[in-house]
Amino acid sequence: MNRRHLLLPVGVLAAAAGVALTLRPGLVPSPWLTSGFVLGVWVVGLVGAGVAVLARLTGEADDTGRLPTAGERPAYRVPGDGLADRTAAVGASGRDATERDRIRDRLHDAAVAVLARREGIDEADAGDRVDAGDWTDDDDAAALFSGTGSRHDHVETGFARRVDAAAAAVADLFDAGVSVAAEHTDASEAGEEVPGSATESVTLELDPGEELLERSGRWRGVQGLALAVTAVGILVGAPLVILSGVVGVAFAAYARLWDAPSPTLGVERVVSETDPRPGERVEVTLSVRNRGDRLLPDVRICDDVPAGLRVVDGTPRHTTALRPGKTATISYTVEAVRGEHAFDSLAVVTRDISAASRRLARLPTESATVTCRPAFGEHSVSLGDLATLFSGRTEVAETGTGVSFHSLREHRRGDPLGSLDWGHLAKTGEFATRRYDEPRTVRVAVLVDARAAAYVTADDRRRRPAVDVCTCAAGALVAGLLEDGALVGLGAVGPRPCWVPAGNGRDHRERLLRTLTSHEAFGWGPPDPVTVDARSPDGEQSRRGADPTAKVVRSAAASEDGGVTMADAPAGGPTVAVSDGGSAVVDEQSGDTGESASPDEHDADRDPTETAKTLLADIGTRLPADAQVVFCTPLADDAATAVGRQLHARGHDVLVASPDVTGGDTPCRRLAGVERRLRLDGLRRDGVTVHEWTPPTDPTADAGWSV
Amino acid sequence: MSVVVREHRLRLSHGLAVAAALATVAAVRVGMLGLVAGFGGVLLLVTGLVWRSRGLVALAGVGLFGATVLVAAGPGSLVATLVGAFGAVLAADFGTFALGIDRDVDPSVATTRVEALHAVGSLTVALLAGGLGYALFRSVPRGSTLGVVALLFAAAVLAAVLRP
Repeated sequence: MNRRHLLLPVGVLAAAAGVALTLRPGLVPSPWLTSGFVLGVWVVGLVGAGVAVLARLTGEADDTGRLPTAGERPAYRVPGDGLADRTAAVGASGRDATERDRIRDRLHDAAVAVLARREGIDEADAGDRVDAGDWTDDDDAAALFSGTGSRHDHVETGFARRVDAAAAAVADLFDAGVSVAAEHTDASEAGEEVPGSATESVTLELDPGEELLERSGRWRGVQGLALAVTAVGILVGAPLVILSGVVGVAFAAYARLWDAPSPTLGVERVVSETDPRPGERVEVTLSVRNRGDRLLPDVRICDDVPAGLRVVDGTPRHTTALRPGKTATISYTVEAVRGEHAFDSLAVVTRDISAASRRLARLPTESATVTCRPAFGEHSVSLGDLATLFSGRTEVAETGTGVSFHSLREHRRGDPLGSLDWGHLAKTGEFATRRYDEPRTVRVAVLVDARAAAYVTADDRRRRPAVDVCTCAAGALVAGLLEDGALVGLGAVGPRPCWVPAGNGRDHRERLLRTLTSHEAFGWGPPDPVTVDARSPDGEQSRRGADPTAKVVRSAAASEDGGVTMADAPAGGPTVAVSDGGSAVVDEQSGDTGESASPDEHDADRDPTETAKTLLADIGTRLPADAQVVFCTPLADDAATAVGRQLHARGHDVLVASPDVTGGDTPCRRLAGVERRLRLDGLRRDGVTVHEWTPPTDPTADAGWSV
Repeated sequence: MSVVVREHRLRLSHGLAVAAALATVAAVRVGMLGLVAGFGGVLLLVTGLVWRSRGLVALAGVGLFGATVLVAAGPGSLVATLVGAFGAVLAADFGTFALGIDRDVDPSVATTRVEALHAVGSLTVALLAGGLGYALFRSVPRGSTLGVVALLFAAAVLAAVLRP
């Protein structure tokens, strides 16, 4: 028996007593009984008032039940912000000593590496100097690692201040060492008008087709108020005060008369352009019709604008009252950016007329898709010497039966007579054999870092993620390398699997560029654990993934223009498939996504090498041994560096193309920039070719790289 | 650091909230203490609306209601008590509703229809309940306060119990 069952007879008895006492005031002659009843109501009133106050104080947050926001790109972090947050969250007590030491270790490693690089000393000596505190003039920075500021297992105050000082000191030391001022320009500081604005972000955690009814709590406490007033009225013996309690009762009952109506809506959505160019404006017109037979006194709608699209005019959110059969229409304009953006749902919140209850729903709608394919351009890079055995057009360090002269070498028994260099014989009297270049076909796999850790931005107002920059760079590379005659494949390093085997030809180029445009692995929303975990064991894709019903065509098919698509996957390994639409999917045999589901790739506690092995567990098996690899990554964490090293260690010629997506306006952001530069240096030392550039922060621009 | 800039738009509910609060002040003007509390409530309400603080608006409603109780315990009349009490609750209701609208939609969106519907609903409840209270108070025999108390108590309990 619950509380309601206990209260119901109480209410019925009280009502009966009230009616009886109203009709016959002298029904209860006993004074003690009257006093007892009054005292009881008084106690209940006070308790009700207490409950009302408590409910208000511990009530739900303002964000609960809010209409979600839309029309702004996800709030990507700037590298270093995670460290700043961790530092701000850490306390001064001994309980947080472990976390403080983790942060301290990270800064210590950076300080040592920068000092060793700048002074040209080994890291052991640099470590001694950092520990001794004579690496910087800033006392706070030095105190983080030395003297009384060093490791504690008790209370440590001023930690955040020392971290900021140390981060700034490390960055200053690094900048002084390379004699390069920070290249980062804050658009707002430069007086440039920055599109978009910082807005509060509210999300509705419902899938299409789901709805949720909840009480808003706006009338919470009104019953307690009524009882309290009644109690006061009895205490002071004022009938009018008792009467005022009727207010609370009336509105308490009003708040419980109806539930928020379930919306039966017909939704039509029209987009003005389905294949815009980047930066082009697309008007979206949304019509919502009440197809039910009940009045919707308060219906609030928010169109689910796909991640990446920013509303530049109008609003996707609206509030109105809809009678049956009536239609409300809104329109707004978005700025197109790379991607295939599907408008396929609508967030709706309805309220009853008292606004005491609300029904939150996400309605599936007919899909309207906007596909924005950038020009990508063409960009070629100098590759390594690794090549296939096939003749081709790429000059490699191989000699053979080509037509271009390569070099001379001493004549050996068996060399064809026609290869003798008679001019050399005439000059020197020695036999020599002419060698000719033998152009080969080079196979290149372009990999894009699409992990959650790569969804960082240099400008948290423009919000262009590094994944977009890397994707645009990959597109330019794909076009450039194919133009040079290479066989080019494409893959994503991240939890959302994408792999297109190497090939060439016009159709293959289209397939690659279409994949870069529309595959979810390169989308604007970072992967989350749900994306991976939600996949069924048989590999079903997430909702916004490639169409799982798409007809699967095995690789090793000749393309229409005569180009070759080569099957790279080893027998028995996860099978790669390419859908009719050209987007790559992994079929049922591929159970491993190649990465753990955790989006927290910034976690410095995880071993980067192990993480890299996990990341490459899947895609590494697809890479042919003779493939060169171009890895596009912002190098936002050590795991990205480890991926480059792992690929290099497996015998591939590796080129890391790294856009600089770091900020420079806070100490922690500057430190993150330094750490990235140190990663680049480390890769170079390991023999990995590295190209870096500073990309434009405008999401409608191309990769903007110049190698 | 980014700064959240939010534009304001004067909505129907803002005006109705202030009007309801002023009605309460007019009703409690007969008592000095109640008048002071009433003006305090109006001040809190306006501040809450400008600062977009639901807590302040709710507190303003409590303040206005407190002013009404003070007057009802002293020189207040039956009509003044009812007007003051319902005005206080309506002021908080309209005020918090306006803030909810502000929170959910852009200033450019016209929401008068939704606000008017909500206001009509609340006003209807206030008029009906006020009329019922007035009739009850006038019709019951003198000395039957205990019965009224029991009825109020029963209504409060049943309202809580009979809906999920």
